[in-house]
Amino acid sequence: MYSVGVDVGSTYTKYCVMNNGSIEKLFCEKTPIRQKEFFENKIDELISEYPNAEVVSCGYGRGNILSVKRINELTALARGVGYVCPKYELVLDIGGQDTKIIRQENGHLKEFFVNDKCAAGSGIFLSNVLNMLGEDFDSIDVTGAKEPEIHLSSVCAVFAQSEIVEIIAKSSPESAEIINSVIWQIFKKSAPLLDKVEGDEMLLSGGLSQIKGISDFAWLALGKKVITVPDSRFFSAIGAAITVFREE
Amino acid sequence: MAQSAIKLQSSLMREYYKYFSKYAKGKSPEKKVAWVTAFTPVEILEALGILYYYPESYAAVIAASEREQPLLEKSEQCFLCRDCCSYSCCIEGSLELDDGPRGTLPMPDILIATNNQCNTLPNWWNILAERYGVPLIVIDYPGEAIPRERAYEYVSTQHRDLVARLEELSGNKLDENVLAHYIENSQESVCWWKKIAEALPNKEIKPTALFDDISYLITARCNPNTAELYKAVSEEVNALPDADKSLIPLFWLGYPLWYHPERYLSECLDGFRICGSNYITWWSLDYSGRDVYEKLFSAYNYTFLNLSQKTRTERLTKLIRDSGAVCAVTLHNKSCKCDFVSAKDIGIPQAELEIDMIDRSFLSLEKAKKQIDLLKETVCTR
Amino acid sequence: MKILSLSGFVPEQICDTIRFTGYSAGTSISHYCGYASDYISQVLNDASFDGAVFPKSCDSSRIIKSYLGQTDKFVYQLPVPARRDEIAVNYFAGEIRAYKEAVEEHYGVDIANINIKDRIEALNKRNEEIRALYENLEEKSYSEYLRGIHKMLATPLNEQSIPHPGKTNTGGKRVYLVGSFLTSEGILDTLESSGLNVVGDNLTESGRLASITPCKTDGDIYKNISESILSARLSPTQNNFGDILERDLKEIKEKKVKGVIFLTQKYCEPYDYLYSV
Repeated sequence: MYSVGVDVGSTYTKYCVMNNGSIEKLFCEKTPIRQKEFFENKIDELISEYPNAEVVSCGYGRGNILSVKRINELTALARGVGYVCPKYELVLDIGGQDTKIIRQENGHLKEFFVNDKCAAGSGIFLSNVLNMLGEDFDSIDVTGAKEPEIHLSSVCAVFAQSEIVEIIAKSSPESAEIINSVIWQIFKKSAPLLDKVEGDEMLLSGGLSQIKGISDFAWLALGKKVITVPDSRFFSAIGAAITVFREE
Repeated sequence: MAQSAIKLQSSLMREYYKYFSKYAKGKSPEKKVAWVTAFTPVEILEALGILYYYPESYAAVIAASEREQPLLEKSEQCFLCRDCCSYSCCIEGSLELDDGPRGTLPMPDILIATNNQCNTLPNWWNILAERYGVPLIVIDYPGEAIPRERAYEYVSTQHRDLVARLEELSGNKLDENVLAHYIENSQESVCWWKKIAEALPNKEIKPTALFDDISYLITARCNPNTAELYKAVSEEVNALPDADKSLIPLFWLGYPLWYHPERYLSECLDGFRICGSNYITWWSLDYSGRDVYEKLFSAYNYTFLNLSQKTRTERLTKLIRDSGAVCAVTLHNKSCKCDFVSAKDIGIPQAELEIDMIDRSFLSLEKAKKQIDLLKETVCTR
Repeated sequence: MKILSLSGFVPEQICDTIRFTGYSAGTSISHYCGYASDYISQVLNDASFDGAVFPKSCDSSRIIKSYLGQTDKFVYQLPVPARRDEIAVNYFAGEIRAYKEAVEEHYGVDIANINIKDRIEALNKRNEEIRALYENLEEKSYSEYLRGIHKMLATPLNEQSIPHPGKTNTGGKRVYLVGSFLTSEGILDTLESSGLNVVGDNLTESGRLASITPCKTDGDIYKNISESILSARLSPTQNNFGDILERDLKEIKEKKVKGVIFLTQKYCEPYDYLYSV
């Protein structure tokens, strides 16, 4: 029996196809603007490729997928982590629009804290700066990077972008230095969430987890051990897909 | 509700609002007037025949009357930052515009502020002192920061000083027997209130009633009618049906939402029942001691928000445990810092919501709903 | 023994402390002023400090201890009176003695009265020199002056040197600064490059420090220290805005100030309320 988990993020939509509880396929694509129509066709495609598949959606845009089961993305995240790497209880998820920290036990969500009021602590800040610099996300590599010399003083992403423009005008730093300082800032903004939970190591999920060398860089910024595993951006999609096979 | 409880409520409200401008019809109070913060030793004022009023409570009434927004705007136009305590912004706006559902409070002859709730209230009282040109007395309560003996010496010295200054103001001399009598009244009020609050986990009580009814404990605890009222309410509460235990028991950690008709986010709490609240325990003061000064010291130096983090965590954890709550909604209003920290390490999952108790525009209902839905999933899918 | 202190209420007469002047590697704790938040971060993260002493004078400083509960370092919350009268002086004297005893116990040292008296004399001399500097502010580079004060306060007493700021352009617009401790030193450069001439302030480390009356050395030294500290121009946390306004306005008139720059930061209620007056 097939199940499909769909995690509709603000920037990317992630998919997980499971066959009798085992992962068969993971893929992602950019989240379109006109979502309802897009997902209507998408679900039709998926059902024709995987007949009788049950589709479960999560993520901020889950409401745009009609007629399927929906679960909250943090519940899905807990389930996904519980399936892939259950030994990691604490998970820091830096999404496109918000940052969350959760504790999971055996795939069950036990605790959560969300910071959704500050863009300076989420992926959209990085995304905007990359656009500004004309750089590609896939080119980011923070392997071996130290604490950046550029410290953004603005607490607001909008003002921070203006600050970056000024910095470039004054001293023409390398794009990599600016990008590193933005990623550093994002981690610093998530630090207050870490104070709310117990634990010295955590799993990083969300788009940032794909950046080369991010584990050590995050460790440096946060002062706590940060683990990344392959395909961590698919945790929520995996968690959504596994829902079909869980007994509640 | 039984007639006697309603009569008692009406009597208390009539007495409290008698000199508000809407009802006073230009008549000034016959006694001296003090504006006080919520944890002021009002038994002393009562014993000296001084009337006392609570601007914070009136801000709650303003919000409940859906009139806070223009007052908050006016306050901001008068250079009080809107990030400041909404109680203060609301009242400052009310005073500037001379506007409020019951008019304005009677003019103060003296202002009394305490820091056993927070340090912001005395700051606010300073601007009231500038506005009215009346004396300001600040009572400094060290809480658990220093050993009891030293704290008692400092606090009781200040209480005696307060007595001396109020004797001068009122022209009356304090009779400690009278003071003892008012302390007893407060104790009685607290005793009956606790019986009501303790029934919340097990009885079908609407939290709205508790959030509203505690106002008498705040503004009129020395009044014997308050104890009578709570005694009557307690009897009614005992006769209520048992709480529906099939609903998810939730702890409401934070202020009531004064602007909301039900004082809490009832529209988001389908499937939950509120079985506990820390707010309704804050005025259950402990008046233990051998004499009047020791009793006042115990009650007012060790208010919940004046306790150490360790003690607050212990008490809150016990409160939550006794309530049977399996989850909490934790409210962070615009400016309160002290209560923010109280919710550390409470041992149950919580949904942290950015909601203000006065300023309804601060809330994103959609975000609140999302967090509460998540809380439900966390609790239900174990 | 290296204690990080927050606020001018911490009695330097008792033992050396290093005054907190800013920390950029901090984690911001939402809802608290950056000053308290950065202080907490430095205490927790800076291994060179083995102690922290801070007041309980505003809502941000009030909760500092809640965040330092787990550390093994010497952590002491000094209950600064929220009023200024004879009752407060006597109370604060007792608390200063208690602070001294706590330092002795934690560090296993003996702070003799003779040492305290020596420190009192040294501080009286230092503060007198600061006062002299402050009274001639209009001729000095304010930025060099204040930076010099910060540097001075961040060193042990016997290594402190009085700042020697250079001259400034006395033709600039005369301004007065109102605010708490100025950790963002970049503002000083902005003021000077804008051609403004700071002729007075009520900052913690400047105008208020300069106003402290000399501490007596005979009699009850703890009461003397208390009286001296509480003699300074008021912080809004001491709840007498009328007094603050009176003193500030008097100085503004005397110094023919053209403008006031009010420095405030988010989540700093004492200054927000003072501003509204």
